[in-house]
Amino acid sequence: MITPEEERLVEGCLRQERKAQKMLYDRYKDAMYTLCLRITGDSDLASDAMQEAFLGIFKGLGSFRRASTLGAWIKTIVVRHAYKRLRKEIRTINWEEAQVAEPSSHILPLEAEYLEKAIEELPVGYRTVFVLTELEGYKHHEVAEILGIATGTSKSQLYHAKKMLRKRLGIELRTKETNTHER
Amino acid sequence: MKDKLSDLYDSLPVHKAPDKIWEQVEEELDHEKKMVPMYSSQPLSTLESPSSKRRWLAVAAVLLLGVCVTTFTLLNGPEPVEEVSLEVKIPDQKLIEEANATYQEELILSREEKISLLMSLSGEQDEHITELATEWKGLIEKDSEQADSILGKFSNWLMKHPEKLLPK
Repeated sequence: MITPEEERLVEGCLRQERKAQKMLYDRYKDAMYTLCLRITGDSDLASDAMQEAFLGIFKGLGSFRRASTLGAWIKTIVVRHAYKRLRKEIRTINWEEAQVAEPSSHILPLEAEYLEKAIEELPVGYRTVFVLTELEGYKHHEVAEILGIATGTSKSQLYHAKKMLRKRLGIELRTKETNTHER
Repeated sequence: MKDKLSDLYDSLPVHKAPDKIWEQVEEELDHEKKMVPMYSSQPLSTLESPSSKRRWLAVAAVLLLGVCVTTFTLLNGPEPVEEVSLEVKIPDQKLIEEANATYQEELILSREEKISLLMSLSGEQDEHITELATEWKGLIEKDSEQADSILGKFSNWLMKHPEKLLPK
């Protein structure tokens, strides 16, 4: 489950070697920051979550049982800290009655960028479940465990999130097509 | 539409983590590393919390006060009592001789005591003593002038037989 190189990194981190800690951080920092950013929807919250998560990772490496990949173990910790930060900020997340935001009026040139913007504008519950299931590959029961919600809630949140995204993406595509025809 | 949406996932950008995150993480790690050596040289059970430090200071203060009071008492208190030697002094030979002489003197009886003792010895079961006592008794009664000489002999005899002075 863990490569020899990662094992060496883990051993170095356990010996409190700063070089090993930095190497481990550098290996995952961008992917984990992106994940934090998508869950929290805010760069400051994402940074705070990253800081707390990696301190927790360095302290808790001794308890890493090698049952999963190192990346999966790190990601789970990061997700928990990001969600914890988000909950602190929002207090309560309404999983049942998510407010549907109005589509952004401006047109983005790239579809991926638009998708990211659309994800960011999703209601918190939709966004969190969508990011974890669709982008990070977690199963619904895993998401339910991480977020402390029912598996059914996770499924319904994802359904609504995708429906909203399709709608917004369709609008965008049509807008782009219209613009092309207008030109 | 569904395929189009999922096709976009991989093209989503990865955001660069700001450098300040690591700086803060490193700062925290440094802080913790500084704290660990303070405690790592001691067993876990003796880790000192601020409250336990206060307790140790209080105990140290009490001990110091005790030492001061003891020192003051020793310097200003009453003179120490002279030590009594427990050594047993063995009497020398001269003292033994003096003691023996005193004992011998005590054996010197008065004339009446010697006569009384001689009378009692005449009834002894020991034949030799009885004969001797009876003879001397007769001599004393016959010739009182020789009585002191006979009693002198009796004293010499008693010196050789002090057990005859012990009460029966």
